[in-house]
Amino acid sequence: MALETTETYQEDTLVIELNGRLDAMTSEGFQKLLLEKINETKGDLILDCSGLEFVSSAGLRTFLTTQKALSARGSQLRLVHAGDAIMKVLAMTGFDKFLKVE
Amino acid sequence: MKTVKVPAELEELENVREFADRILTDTIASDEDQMAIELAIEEVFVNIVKYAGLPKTGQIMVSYEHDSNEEAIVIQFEDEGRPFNPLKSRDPDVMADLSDRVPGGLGIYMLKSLMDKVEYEYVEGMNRLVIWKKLSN
Repeated sequence: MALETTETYQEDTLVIELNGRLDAMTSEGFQKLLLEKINETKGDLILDCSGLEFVSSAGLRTFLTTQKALSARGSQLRLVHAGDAIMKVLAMTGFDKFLKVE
Repeated sequence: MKTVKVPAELEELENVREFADRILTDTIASDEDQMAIELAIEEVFVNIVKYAGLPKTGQIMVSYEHDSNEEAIVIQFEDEGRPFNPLKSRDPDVMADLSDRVPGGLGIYMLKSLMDKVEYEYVEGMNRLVIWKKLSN
């Protein structure tokens, strides 16, 4: 199953809505998208995870790379509406410590 | 025991996953256990594809067994790549600050956290990794 993304703006902040799976096959494309968007925007980046069904280590690595890039400009990656399964993975790996999970 | 044999290519993860899904629907696995098993399968399979040095024509054999005595799912991965023990990778420091976090080791760390038992051996020219997940009903 693939990953689909849609982009909207919450005032000046870009919100990317994820639908599907963030895994070894979809992460590379998603990472490219995120890095593009970091270049095009200022401020925080919000990922709406309500439709995110699955995240593996490949997906977590995109979060890590993205947060590092955002931190370099004083911004934050924010994950919103993540389901229980996703929250469990974030907690297990300590990712909930440096990402803003709302 | 049910087995599937696939070429050592990342795209084959989809086939391995579908095969696992078909088997898991026959067992009574909770959503949480299913997710854990799906994650484990990805982490092992991707690791083998990336690091066992197999040519694209190389094969990875994945076998599933439902141990009804133990109420557990047992999955075995075999390949003829160079001797490679994925469990030897160092765990990432999950308490570290962002600036100290590195991408490596996450997949295997997740595998070990999600599965009840993970064992590796190199036997008769094959890497063999076996993972066990006790089902909670």
